[in-house]
Amino acid sequence: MSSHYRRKDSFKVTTKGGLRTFGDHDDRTMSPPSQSSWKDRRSRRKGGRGYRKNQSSGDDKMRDGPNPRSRLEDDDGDISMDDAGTAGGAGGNRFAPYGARPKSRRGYRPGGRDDNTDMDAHNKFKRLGLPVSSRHGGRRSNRETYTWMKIYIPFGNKNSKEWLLKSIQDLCTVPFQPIDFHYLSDGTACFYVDDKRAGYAIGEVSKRITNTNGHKVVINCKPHPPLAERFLKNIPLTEAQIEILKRSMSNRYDVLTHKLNLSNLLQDEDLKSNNIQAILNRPNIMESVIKIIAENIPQITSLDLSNNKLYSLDNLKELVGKVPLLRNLSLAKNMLKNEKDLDKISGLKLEELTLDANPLCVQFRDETTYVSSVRKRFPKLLKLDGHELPPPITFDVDTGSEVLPDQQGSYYINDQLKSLVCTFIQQYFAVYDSENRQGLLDAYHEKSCFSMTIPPNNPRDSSSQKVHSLSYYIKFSRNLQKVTDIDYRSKLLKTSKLGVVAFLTELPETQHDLASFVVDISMQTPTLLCFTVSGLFKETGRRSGHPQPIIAFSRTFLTVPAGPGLCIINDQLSIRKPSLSQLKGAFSTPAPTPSTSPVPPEIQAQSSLSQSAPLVAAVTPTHQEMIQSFSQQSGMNVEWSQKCLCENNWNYEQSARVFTDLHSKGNIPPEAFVK
Amino acid sequence: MAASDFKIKIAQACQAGEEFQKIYYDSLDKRRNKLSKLYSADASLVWNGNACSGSQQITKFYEQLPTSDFRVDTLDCQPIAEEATNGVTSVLVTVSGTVKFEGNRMQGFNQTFVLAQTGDVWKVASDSFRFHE
Repeated sequence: MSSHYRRKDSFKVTTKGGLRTFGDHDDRTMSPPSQSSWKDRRSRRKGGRGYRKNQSSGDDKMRDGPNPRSRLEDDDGDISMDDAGTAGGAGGNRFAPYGARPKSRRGYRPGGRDDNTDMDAHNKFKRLGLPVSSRHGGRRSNRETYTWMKIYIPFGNKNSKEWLLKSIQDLCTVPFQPIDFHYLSDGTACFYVDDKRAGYAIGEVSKRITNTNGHKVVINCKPHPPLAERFLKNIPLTEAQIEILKRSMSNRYDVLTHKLNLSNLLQDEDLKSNNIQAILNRPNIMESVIKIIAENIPQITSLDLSNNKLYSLDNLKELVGKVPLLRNLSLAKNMLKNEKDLDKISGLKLEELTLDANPLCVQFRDETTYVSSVRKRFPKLLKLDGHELPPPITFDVDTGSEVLPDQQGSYYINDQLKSLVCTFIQQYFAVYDSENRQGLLDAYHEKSCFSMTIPPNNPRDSSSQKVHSLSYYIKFSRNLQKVTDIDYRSKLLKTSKLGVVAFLTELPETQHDLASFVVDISMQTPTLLCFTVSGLFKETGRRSGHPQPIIAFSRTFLTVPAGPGLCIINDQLSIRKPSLSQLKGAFSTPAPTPSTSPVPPEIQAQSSLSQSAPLVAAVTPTHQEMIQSFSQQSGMNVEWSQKCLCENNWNYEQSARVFTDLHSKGNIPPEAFVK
Repeated sequence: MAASDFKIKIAQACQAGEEFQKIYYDSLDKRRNKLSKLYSADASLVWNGNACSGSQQITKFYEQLPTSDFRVDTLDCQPIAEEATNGVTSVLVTVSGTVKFEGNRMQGFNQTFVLAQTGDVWKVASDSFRFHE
C-alpha cells in the first residue's frame, strides 16, 4: 500500500480522535542513554529534532523506520480499520511508549519530523489497542518494568521468515514464541516476545548468523510493554479452534467443483456458536484459514472471500504459491481501498476476479483505467466483476512450468528386486520391532555403518507437543551441520555389526506402520543395492508413555548380496515429526503385533511367496544363532560363548561387554578359545 | 584396516558430503545446466517415485522443475565399505531440509546420494529424493 494512501487514511484518523499533545514528545532526551543504545546513536546522527520540518513527509523510506510508531503508521496502519471507531474516543491520554521517534535510522540523514504524523500515530495507537499503557498516561514509564521485548532485524526480508526464526532459535539459548512477526517497509523484520529473558537472549544472537548473501544478521531488541489484549488475539488459534474452523470450511467447500465459499465468515453459525470470531482481517484467523487450505484442499479452483470487511490483503498474500490451481477469486463487498493492495496477491494465476463494491473500484478515472490497472496485476484475467475482458496478450514462450511431476508410489526397478527388498524389509522390521533386536546381527555386514539424524528444533512448531519425543534422540543425532568435531563425528558413527546392533538395541522399542511404507530402490549394481524406506513408527516401550509418540522416518539401506538375501553395509536413519496428514492416516489398520501387522499390498504379496522368495540369512532370533555369532565375534568356542550369553540372560550386548572386560583383564582361560 | 585409517575415511566422507551438498544445491537452485557435470554418466535418479538414468536425462529432468529454493537442515555422511563398490571410494550422503518450488508450497524433503570418486573428481552415482508427506 502506498504511503500516500496511508497518509490520507492517517489524517482521517487524526480528525476522528482529535489532536492532542503527548507527554512523550520531549522525554526522549531524558531517557538514560544506557537503555537503548541504537536510539542514542541515532539521536547523535540526527543532530537534533525539529530540524527541517516536513522534510521527510514525502519520503517513504525515511518514514518507515524500525520503530513501533512508524510500523503502525506506515505498515500496518490498515489494521486500524478493523473495528474502527470502537476505541476512537477512549484513552486520549495514552501515549506511545516508543512512538514519536523520527524516521528511520537507516536514513542516517538529519531529518525533521512531521508533527502531524506523530499525532496520527498516537491516535492510531489507542485505536489499535496496540502497545499503549493507560497507567502511565502521558508520561514515559520506566522501561525496566516492561515485560516484553520487541525484536528488530534490519534487512530481515532478505531471507524467509522461517529461515530467520529458525536460525535465531537454533542459536538462542532461551526458547521463544515470536508474536506478530511482520516486516517494515524498509525490509526490517519485527516481532515481539513476551519474555524479556528470551528477548535478551535473542539479542545475543546478533551478528552470529550469516545469511545466504554472506551478511551477518544484526538483531536489535528493546524492552516493550505487553501488547494490549485486543492485539493478543493475533496469537495463533488453538488446535481445537482450528478443528472447528476446519469443520466450517469443509462445510463451505464443494468437493466436485473445488469451490470454497468463505463469504461472510463472521456470521458463520457454527463458528459463532463456538465463540470463534472469524474476522479475516485478523492475521491469526487468516493464517489459519490459509494453512487449512494449503494442507487440505490445495487443489481449490475458486475462492469466495466476499463480504468479510477486508481492508487489506496483507494476510491473504500468504495464499500465493499454495493454491496453484486457483483461477477464480471473489473479494466483492469488502473494504479494499487501494489498488496497490492487489500487488500482494498478483502471484495468483487468476482468470476471474470480482472486486465489486470495494472503495477502490470508484477511485479510477474510468472503466478502462480500472481494467488495465487490475490486468497489470493479473495478466491472464478473462473476467473482472463478471464482465468478459478482451483476450490477454500472450506470446508463445517457455516461461518454465510451475507444475511438479506427480508423486509416485514405491519404485522397485523390477519385480525380482521388489520381491527381494520387500521380503527383506518385512523381516528386518519384524525383528526390529520385536522385544529383542539381537536378531538383527546377521542382517549386518562386518564393516557396516549406522548413524542417525534429527532435524534441528523448529520454533514454529510450538503448537504441537510441548516436549516432543524427538528430543530424546538429540544426543545420537549426527547432523554434520551441527556436529563439527571430527572425533565426535566418528563417535556418532556406529561401526561393525556388533557396534551397530548394540546401538540399535539401546533405541526405544518401536512398532513400524508397514502400511505407511514407501520404498525407492535408487541404485543397483552386482555388488550393491541402495534403497530408501520412508514411513512411520511409534515408540511402544515404557519410556514412551501415553499417547505413544508417532515419528516419521526415512531410512536408507545399502546392502550387499548375502546368499539368497541381503546384508546391510550402510544404514542411515533420519527421523522427524510427522505431518498432520500423516498422523491422520497413521496406524489406521490395527496392528496387535508386528508379526501380523498389515502391510502394503506389494509387501503382503511377498509374504505368501516367502517359500520362493530369498530370505535374509538369519534374522530370526534364536539362541543358537546368537551363540554362533557370539562365538565368531569373540573367538571363544561354542560352549564358552553359550556360557557367557546364558549368564547374561541372553543379552548380547551385555555379554559382549562382560567378555571384553574379562578378556582385557586376562581373566578368560585359554581353553575357552579352543575350538 | 587400522582404526586410524578408518577414521581418516570417515573424515574424508564427511568432507566430501559437506562440499558436495553446498555445490549441489547451489547448482540446483541457480545453475541447473551445470548439474550434468555432477552426475556420473550412468547415474540413476528416483524423484518422488519417478525414475530416470544417465546424467543427461537427469539434468533434463531437473531443468523441467520449477525454480527451487533449497534449505538444508541435516546432513549425514558415511563411508561405504569397498566390498560393496568394487574398490571405488564411495560415500553415502543423506540430506534433509525444506524446499520451495515456485508456484508450490514449501515442503520438507529427504534426499540420499551415493557419491563415487572417479579419477580426481567425485560424482553422483545415485540420487533418491522424496518429499516429506
